[in-house]
Amino acid sequence: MTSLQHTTGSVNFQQLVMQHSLDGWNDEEFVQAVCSAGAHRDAALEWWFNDAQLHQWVRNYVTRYGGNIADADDLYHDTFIAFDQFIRMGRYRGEAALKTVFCSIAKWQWVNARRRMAKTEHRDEWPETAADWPENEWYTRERASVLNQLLTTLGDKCKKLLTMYQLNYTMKETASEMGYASDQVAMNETSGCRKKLKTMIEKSTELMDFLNRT
Amino acid sequence: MTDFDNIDDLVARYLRRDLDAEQLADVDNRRRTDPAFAEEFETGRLAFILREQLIANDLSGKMKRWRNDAPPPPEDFFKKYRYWIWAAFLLLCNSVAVWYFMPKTPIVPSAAPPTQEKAQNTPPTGTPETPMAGAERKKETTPPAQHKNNSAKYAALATRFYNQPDFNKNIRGNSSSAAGPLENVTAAMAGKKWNDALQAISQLPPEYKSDGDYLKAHILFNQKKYNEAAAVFGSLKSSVRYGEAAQWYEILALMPTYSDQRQTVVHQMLMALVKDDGHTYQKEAKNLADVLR
Repeated sequence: MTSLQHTTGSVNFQQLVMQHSLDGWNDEEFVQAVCSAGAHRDAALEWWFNDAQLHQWVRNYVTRYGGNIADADDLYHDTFIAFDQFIRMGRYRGEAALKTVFCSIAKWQWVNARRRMAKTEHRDEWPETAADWPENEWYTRERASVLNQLLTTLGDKCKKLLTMYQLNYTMKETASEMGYASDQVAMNETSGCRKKLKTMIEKSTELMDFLNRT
Repeated sequence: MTDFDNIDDLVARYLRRDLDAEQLADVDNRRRTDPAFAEEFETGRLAFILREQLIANDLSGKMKRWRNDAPPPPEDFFKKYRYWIWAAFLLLCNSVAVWYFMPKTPIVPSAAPPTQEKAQNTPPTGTPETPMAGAERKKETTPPAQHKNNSAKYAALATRFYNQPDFNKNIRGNSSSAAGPLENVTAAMAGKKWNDALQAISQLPPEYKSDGDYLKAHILFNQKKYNEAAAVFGSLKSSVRYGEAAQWYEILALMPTYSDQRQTVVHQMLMALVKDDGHTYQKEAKNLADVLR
């Protein structure tokens, strides 16, 4: 699937990246940007992703606890996805600095990964910051792999539309991104894709079982 | 009853904990009591999870692009260069060992006695400078050749302050009845036959170990093996018989390493002796400190 590029709209993406690369976002601004749609979100996430210190922290952590650099890079990737979801799901309440939350998620992801590999069991050590997030909502590669098998039949257009829908794009923004003539077209197309997805789910008892199990 | 535009909206708000307590209780109640609603809700929940997966996929693609655009995170400096650091460390050890075992050139002590040093603190006019008078004029940067020069000067100063014990006398005291085994050593030392003395020390019975060590340290000092002498004197600092003497002679043996930086260990050891009222060598220590000041 081609990722959303945000080539249109009044906000210049490169300008945003440049501006915030110099100034950075504070935690509040960052959360707002991630929860918003479009260029602000991407600029904020790119800025966060390129934090070399954070990346190094994850590498040090993983290599200290039995992993290698490749494991660390995988963990950084997975943590980043979980972190984005954590923020968008409204789990971040501002009690701790965002970097602390990120590291906490990374630790949790790593403990989880190690547990799945049956190498260790450290449930007592799980970080508290993210502890109230249900375990079955955590990003795992096994889970992602099963979900993606189902999503392959969805088609690129629906994937894009449903991604924008999930990211709370307005129909105007969706129409603009997809090059539709009007908001109404965007609404109809999105609605059609949502129905298609539900039909797929209803037909896939295997998926239902898997998701109910995990 | 909770009313939303569609089940997706309700599920999203439910999962995002965006419902108030009353709405939440209402949804939970309906899921328990209304099978059709429960099924529809479950489908909506799975659709939500799949849409989240689409976002994850989108983000993965972007991360790939960002990773290619951005420089890789810097590797930990010490990890990256650990072999170079070890190599440099070994090279340094090697250099120190070479310097340590290199034969020392004889040092000609300055003719001026310590008591005259203060008077010479006025700017020199072509006269040979004392170690500290020279040191006071030193600049912050000291080239290697100058370091060697300094070392020789401080070694000369140590030699001047070194009062060789009278080895013809029994160092254990006249009352000792066990002086016999040391006689060969002290006799050789009095004749400056250092190798003979060392040979005699090696044949001393074990109960004469501290005596032997003390004499050996003096021999090493006289052979200008200052570091070795300092190590042996240092090992005797807690000796009841030789402790105070060992403290003083250790300082003298370390003098070649004295620099004009006042933070050195040698300087601190000397100052400790200066402040130690009643120390046998306090007076000598004060005189040395005055010269160095």
